Amino acid sequence: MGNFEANEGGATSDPFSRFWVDLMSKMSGTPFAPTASQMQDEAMKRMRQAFFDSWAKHCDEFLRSDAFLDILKKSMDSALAFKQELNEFMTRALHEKQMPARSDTDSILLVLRSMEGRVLERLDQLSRRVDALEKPTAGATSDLGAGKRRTKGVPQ
Amino acid sequence: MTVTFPQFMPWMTTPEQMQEQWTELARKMAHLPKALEVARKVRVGATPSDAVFRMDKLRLLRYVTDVEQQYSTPLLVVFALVNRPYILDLRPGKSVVSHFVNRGFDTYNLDWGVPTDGDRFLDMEDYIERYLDSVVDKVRERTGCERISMLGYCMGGSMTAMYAALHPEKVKNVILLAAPVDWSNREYLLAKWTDASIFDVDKVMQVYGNAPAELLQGSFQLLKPVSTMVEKYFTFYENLEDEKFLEDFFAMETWLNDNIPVAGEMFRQFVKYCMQQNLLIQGKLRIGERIVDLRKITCPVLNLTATQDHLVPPELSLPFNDAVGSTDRKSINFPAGHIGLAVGTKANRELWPSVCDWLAARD
Repeated sequence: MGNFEANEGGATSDPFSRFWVDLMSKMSGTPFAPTASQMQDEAMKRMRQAFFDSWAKHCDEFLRSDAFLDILKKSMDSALAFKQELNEFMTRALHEKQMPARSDTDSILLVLRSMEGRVLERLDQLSRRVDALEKPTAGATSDLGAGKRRTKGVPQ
Repeated sequence: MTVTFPQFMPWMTTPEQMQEQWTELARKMAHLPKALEVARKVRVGATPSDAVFRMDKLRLLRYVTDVEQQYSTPLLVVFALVNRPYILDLRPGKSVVSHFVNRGFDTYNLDWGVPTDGDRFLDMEDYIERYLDSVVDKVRERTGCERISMLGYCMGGSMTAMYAALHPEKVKNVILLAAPVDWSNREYLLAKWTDASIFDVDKVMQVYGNAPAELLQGSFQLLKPVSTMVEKYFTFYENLEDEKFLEDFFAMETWLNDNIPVAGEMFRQFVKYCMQQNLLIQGKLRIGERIVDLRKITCPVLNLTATQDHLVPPELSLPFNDAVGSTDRKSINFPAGHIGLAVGTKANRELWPSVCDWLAARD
């Protein structure tokens, strides 16, 4: 399935031709009674479904192919590069006007999170000390909501 | 035997049929204002609920009912971060929640809220150890139950599994609904697209902050492009005069287009450590200072998967049952799709009553 251009079982290697060959074989295999008066309507629906099935199958094949994955990667890289340029431009423009940019709010957020982490760590220490002090009478109380770990860990 | 024109080329339309089709088109177009009216009036969320707890942007919803409570263990529903949770309570007759509520379970649903740029650094530890743990504690405190039942859907199921492994003392039953836990199968489409060689999640999050809703929605639609972008509109046209169909269709469309961004760091960690490195099933995922060891889940486990799930194929979910330490574990592979498992008529008729039975037996 890897390479979309690969020749599978001696069949035509051109995806476009393969799609139409597959479609025509499916549509010709669609059973219908040619003498029934309402035949065309039903036959049309079945043929349409055969077309969709064939189309979906080939789309799926294409979406898995190296060709598509390559397009996906390149378009993603381009979009990211463009967005990054835009971010940098906006940052420079805002800083020129003495205004905060997203990078500044990000820095504030990180400082706050770090501060929160330190406070929670301190609370954890206190909680552990209280737990240690209460240990002799621990069996007498309920533990609903107790023992919560609050510590912010180190990012992986 | 004489072969007439339409017999010879049955796909060709006869003049009578052409006239019939034009009449049908005119009739359907005349019905369009009515369809737009249905779209405008469509309501999602079938069961009334109260927000009983708020923390930052999340809300804990408790479903209100006249049905007398039959079971002591409350049920907490945990939805994914990528969409809104009302899919589990979409419309009357298409509501997972209503099955539990009507059977007398005290049912809660967790609405994570919509992250903004300021939430970009929220990580897995924040979601599991801070938010989810606080919500579970709140439910325990309200109900006086030491242990609660949890039902996690999709990514919410993965998070439920992580939580149950970290806090087995607070969880009585685990139900996973199309929840991925093992990403070792690299052949399914989303795995290919999110492969580390294609998708540089570090860079994406660095540039975008949060995972954009449009990126997520576009990716999900592209998984089945013919079905989501072509076929469904043919079905819509064919059923344009069916009001019941229209109500369901627009309710579903409302949900499908109600995508929300995912907090950047959470998304980065989930994609990198779960989807790309597959650490969860290997027992190597670290949340904060702790390792998530699924073997620590010893409570009853029910794993629900969908045979035609293109988003979370069953092979991503089923290894969960072998990874946990529970002896009471069951899996049901139901003939439906990822969303059909929640809103499908057959699932609502056959699957969910049996899930209620399973849970009731373990109250």
